[in-house]
Amino acid sequence: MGVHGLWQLLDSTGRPINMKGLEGKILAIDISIWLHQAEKGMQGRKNAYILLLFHRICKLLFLKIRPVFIFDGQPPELKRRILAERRQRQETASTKTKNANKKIMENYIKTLAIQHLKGEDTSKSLPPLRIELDEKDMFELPDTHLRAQIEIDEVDMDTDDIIEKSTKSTRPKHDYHHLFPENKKIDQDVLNSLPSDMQHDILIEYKEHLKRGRHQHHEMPQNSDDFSGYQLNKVLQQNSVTQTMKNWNSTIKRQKFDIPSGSSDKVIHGKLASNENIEYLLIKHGNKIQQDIIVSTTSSQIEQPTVNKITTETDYPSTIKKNSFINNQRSNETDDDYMLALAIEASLKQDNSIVNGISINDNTKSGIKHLSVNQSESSHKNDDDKTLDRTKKPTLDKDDLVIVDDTMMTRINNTYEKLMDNFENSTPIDVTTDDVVLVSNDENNFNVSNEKSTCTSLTSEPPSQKTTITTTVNDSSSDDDENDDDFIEVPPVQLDTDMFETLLTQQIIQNESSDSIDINPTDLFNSEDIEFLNELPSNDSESNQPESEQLDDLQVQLVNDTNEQLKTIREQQRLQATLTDGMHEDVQYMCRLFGIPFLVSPTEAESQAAFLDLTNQIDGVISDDSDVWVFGAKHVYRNFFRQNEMIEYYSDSIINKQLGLNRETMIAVAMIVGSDYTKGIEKAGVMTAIEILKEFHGDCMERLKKFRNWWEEAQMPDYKTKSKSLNRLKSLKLNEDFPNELVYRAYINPNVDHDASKFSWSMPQLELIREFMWNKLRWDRNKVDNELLPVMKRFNTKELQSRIDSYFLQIDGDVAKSMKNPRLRKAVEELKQRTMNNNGLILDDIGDDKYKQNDDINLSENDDDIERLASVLETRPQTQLSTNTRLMDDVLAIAKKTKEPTKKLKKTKKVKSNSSILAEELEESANVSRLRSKKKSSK
Amino acid sequence: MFEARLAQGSIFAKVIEGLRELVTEATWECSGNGITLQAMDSSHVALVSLVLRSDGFETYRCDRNMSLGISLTSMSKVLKMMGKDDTLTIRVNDDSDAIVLSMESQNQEEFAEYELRLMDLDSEHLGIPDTDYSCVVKMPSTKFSRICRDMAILGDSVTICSTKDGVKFGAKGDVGQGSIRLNQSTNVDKEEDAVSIELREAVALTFAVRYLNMFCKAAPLSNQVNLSMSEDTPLMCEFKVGDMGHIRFYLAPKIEDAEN
Repeated sequence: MGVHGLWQLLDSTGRPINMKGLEGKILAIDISIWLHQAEKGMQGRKNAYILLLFHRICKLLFLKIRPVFIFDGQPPELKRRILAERRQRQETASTKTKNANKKIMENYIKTLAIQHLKGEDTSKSLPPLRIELDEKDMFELPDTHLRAQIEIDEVDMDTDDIIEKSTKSTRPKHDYHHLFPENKKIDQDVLNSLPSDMQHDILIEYKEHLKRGRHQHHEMPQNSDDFSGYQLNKVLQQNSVTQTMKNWNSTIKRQKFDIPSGSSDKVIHGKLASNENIEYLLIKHGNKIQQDIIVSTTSSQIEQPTVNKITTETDYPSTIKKNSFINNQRSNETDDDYMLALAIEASLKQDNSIVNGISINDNTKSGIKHLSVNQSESSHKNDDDKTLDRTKKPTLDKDDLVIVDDTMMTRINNTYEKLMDNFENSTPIDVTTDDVVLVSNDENNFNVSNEKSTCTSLTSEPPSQKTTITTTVNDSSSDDDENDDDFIEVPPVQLDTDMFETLLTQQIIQNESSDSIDINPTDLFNSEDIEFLNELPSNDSESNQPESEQLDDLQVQLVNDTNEQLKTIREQQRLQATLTDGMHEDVQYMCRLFGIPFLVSPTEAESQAAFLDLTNQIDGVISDDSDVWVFGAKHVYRNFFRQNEMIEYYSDSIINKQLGLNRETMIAVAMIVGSDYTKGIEKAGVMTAIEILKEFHGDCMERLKKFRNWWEEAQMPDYKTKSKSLNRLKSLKLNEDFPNELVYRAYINPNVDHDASKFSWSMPQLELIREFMWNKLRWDRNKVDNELLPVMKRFNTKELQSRIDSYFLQIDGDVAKSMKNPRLRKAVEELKQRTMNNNGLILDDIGDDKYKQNDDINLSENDDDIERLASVLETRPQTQLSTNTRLMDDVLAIAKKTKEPTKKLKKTKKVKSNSSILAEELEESANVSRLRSKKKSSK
Repeated sequence: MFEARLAQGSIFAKVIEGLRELVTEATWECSGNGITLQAMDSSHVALVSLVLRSDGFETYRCDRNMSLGISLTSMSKVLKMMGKDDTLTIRVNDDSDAIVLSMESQNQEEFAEYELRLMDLDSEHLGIPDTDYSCVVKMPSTKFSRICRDMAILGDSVTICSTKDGVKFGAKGDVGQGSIRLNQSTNVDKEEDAVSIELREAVALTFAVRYLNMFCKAAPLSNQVNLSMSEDTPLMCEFKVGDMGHIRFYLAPKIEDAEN
């Protein structure tokens, strides 16, 4: 940000000021910096920027400062480069986050598995759910007990179109309106007896009928007093029809998705932002642990929407079985336009797998040793070849079988081979295994381990003509379980389900926002993990004691790894944070609420702020960005929002007096060291910049052009100079386009809003602010009032504290604070000396010139300089003719310089540094005279 | 070499006490004529100007002009170690970056020496114009301190109205409002208890009472305080430092907010 290292240079000119002394000042603030700070510095909080802004606005208003907020506009052309770089950084950050996220997911699942192996309660180790504070809808109703009801109704309304589509497309439309009774009332019983489709159509028609008011003319009351009663009746009637329709809708939907009408299940419906054709429906069951995700795909080409239901249940095995059957039927029933569903299925797979994993774990834990995993898997173009393909795929990764002992391994392999045979034969065969049945393939099929007994019937249906393959792993052990003495009821593990929900919502959120953190499900849940997951429980059945140590180690490893990944995510997210338009809108709205004027700069906020300062429209700029200086700011307040009451005040006049720098020179520094607009000279810092400024004079571009010309000459092999600093400058590498006139012009003449109309402030709108803070941060009235009321009180006092220095004129003060870097200090002091001497008599220029003459390099520009000097130096004729006089002049100059320190001699501390400077200067002058004598002799 | 000896060290301690609330660090300018100090508070609302003439000291020697940046906070701590009737000697050696405070007990049995590091400070000098004030109120400094303390309870700012009859201090705040009116004393038994008003023009000015209370820290220096006021100019609040000099506090008034 800003000019690199410029603050370092200006640091010594800062004056500490108590912010209480800023009463009544009009100060401009670049709001984008705040927003960036909030986004990067206050990660993990929702609407952090509002919190930050609220506090800061309160602070400003409490101090009776009149702020003017300035927003960034379009970045100027020159800034594109730096913006591109920033974007690049963000991109790399996002990939890193992606990877880290992936890792965390993997780790988490592994940990879960390990914990189950060790028989621990998983519910404890679950990460705390982050409570998402949802953006409040503008029209959301106040929180009453009715709201829950309304919510469901709203959701129901959303899904109407799905249902409507299906009904409308399937059956021809009937005109029922001749059926409508004249007596305004539809008999509910009669209606209920009709088929549901017909009910729907009738209701819609009736609603329309009521709306259009076809029966108006003959029902209109004769007496005008009765009219309002009539209207009220009409509304009531319409409402009752709407209610009936809603009821109908929810019942029909429940029917459609097999939900008993009495249950308290919650239905959530939404669309995926990434695919307009895909909608999802999440049915949350009240008490039971059942998760149904219904993915519905609607496409313009496909008339009939398909409903693919993936049901997973962690309940009693019998229910699982039942459900799996339903499931399979369903997937067979549905038509084969899964092409579109495939994507969503892929993303759901992982969730599915998690649930399955959990179900496996739960079952193992309770000792049921029963696993039922159903997988309804359909692909559009599955043929025999592919089936074979799949069976050939290696499924057991040796690396991941660390925990599985050898006998297990062989068993697994045996079973696996048997299964593979089944696949190849494509005929349903009952397989009986002693121990483990393992089915695995890359497409997220699940390993099924069944220890207790039994017969696993594996049905592998050959591809049907509809090219749908359904692999059903059907477990017939449910009967056995009932006979099993060890049977323990599985307690509903609510938390697991919650976790699943979170994961699911996260996934959906990610999809919706097409976020960069897009976890590829196939990547994430590659066969390795699934195997890992499944092997663990099966291993548990063996219950080998020494392995628990190994598990511990592994767990620790995983936890450590997860922590590390979390750290990277946090770091990277900080880099990724970007500002959104919504934020800007919020901030502008806040400005209005607080009655603070704001301005949107055509380009950069800093340039606009500096312009306002330059044209005296404001009293200063609050900024930590050194760019304001090159844009011409005069008064800058830095470090405003530190905890400390003291802030730093910089002014252009102090800088000029103390360092001899003005806007022109600062632009030159910016162009040398690099800024947002230019890369500058490689490896050049402020020190180099000051040295260049010291050697070359004129205005900004003049100086730099001179420098470039000299530098080009200096690159010649025969160029030699005794001056240390010139030698240093010689070794710099200048870019082709240095100095770039465009950069200079961008700084000296930025594109700003030239409107000079006065700013005005108004009272903060307390009530609206309260509302806003509640919506955004859930701050209640008390909390807002605690912050705001003191501000309002201050706002209401009409007095303004004036400042003593507005009455008494300031006399030149001494500068005590010196620069930390002695070399820089020396250079700056020399520069200051030279700029002071610059008006006409430039001894140093002659000096430079002399070097050049010495080296027999004739720079035309410098010749001009001599001529110019000659005219200026009329008071001292023939200065450049006689070397002796020149020598005399040098001595005079040195004497002059030595006077400077003597002035400061009263400052005991100063003396030392000054004397050292003096010594060095004397040395240099000695060099100069040596050079001259040489020249003399050559003459 | 700078050396100044003060038989009554406590006077110097009182001066520092009077300053340190307003300014925590300041530059002392020492010349052949004496010691001067000028400093603004951090908010640049008030200014203090101190003059201690060389003839007020028992011995005074200043070879060349010096600017001594001193932390008043630490100096005040050091001076608290001084006995009530101790003699104080201030010394700065050439080529030293410390100020030496030597304290000698009256019976010359105890001799303490403290060294304080000097600091590099920005010194921003303001030119204080000679002002012909419209109104000069002289009153006992204890009374002034009490009034300021009381007014601070009522509100943040105090309005000083002076007419030819008397001077009124008024404050207004959340709890309520109040005012204290002092009349010009007619018969004066003791000069230090007198309230006198020299008035050319009636004046009403409002000030932040917080600052006035800071000024009152210097009240122990003198029995009387001089309040000089003119419309639209800073208040000058002067305490005499024995017969060797004075502390003058300047306070910018509160003005009507033009925007509201």
